[in-house]
Amino acid sequence: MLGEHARPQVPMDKVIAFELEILGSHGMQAYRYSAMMEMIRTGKLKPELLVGKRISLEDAPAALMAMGGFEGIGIGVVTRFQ
Amino acid sequence: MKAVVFEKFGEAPTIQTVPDPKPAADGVVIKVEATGLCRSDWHGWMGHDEGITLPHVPGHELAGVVVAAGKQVSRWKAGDRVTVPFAVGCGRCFECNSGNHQVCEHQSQPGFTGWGSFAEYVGIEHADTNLVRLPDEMEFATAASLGCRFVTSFRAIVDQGRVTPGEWVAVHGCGGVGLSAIMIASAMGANVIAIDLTDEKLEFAKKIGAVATINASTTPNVVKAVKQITNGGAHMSMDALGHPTTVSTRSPTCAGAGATSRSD
Ligand SMILES: [Zn+2]
Ligand SMILES: [Zn+2]
Repeated sequence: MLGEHARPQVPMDKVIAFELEILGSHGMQAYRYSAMMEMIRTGKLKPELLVGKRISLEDAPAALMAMGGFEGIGIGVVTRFQ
Repeated sequence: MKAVVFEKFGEAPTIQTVPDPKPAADGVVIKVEATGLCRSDWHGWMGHDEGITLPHVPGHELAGVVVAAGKQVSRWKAGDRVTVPFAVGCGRCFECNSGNHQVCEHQSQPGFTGWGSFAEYVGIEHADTNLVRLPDEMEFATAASLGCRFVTSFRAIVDQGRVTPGEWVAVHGCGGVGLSAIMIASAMGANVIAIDLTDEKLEFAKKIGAVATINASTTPNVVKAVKQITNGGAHMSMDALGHPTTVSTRSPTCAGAGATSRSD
């Protein structure tokens, strides 16, 4: 959450009245990866389904500049570096 | 090495030949085999992130092979297939000592606090604390996709959100973070509602586990729709529009439908 999205309004009256919790998530510790990796290994999670387009490093500048708009489905990945 | 470099915020990055990184004493150099494209790289390029100094190489979701290790590194050697969380912990501060490397007080972030992985090679410090070994069968492209959005969602749903089987989870936004959250929450046994502006993304969300979808561009009152589907309100609502940091709201009871009355 950066730029104009950094400070959304929070209805604190509802947080109090319904005892809501607001929680951030800032990635995950390396040592916690094992639980996720085991769920991937056993097929319960399939992150490969979320990999979208594959591009080369040459195409990365244009792809980066375009990312302010709507993304395609899934996570684009640079996989060619030569 | 070749790298994507920008000299000024908001000006077109170019492919340049720059010096190869050298490993820090406790760090490694990784030959990048895959690196994800994430909207936070775009924010960095636009100048929204205070930590960036110019010229800069973006890229923070990476997987590759260790090619060199500093002399203090004991767990990693050349040839190891690895990935790394985007928030690299120092391993020594209060947060790291309490197990919370993701919010390390002295964290480095490839592609933000230093040069990132839109390059042939990237240097990562504190390697023993932060590198993660890849299973042999995992493709580099898949591993790269974990480093920011997938792990952020895993922590949001599992460790922070504490989602349990049968709970309702509303995921706002079906980009990388949202789709990851839908897959993970479904695997945890939750009932997931996917919310987005396009039917195409909502169809995909169903394929990976969402039991209900709401198209926010054609639904006048999304909160009301969530309440109807869930018979009262979602136990957890996840804002998956702004990443890599994401915000989740958790309610102790179904009645707390205010969970969805967020700014998104
Ligand atoms: Zn630390
Ligand atoms: Zn990211």
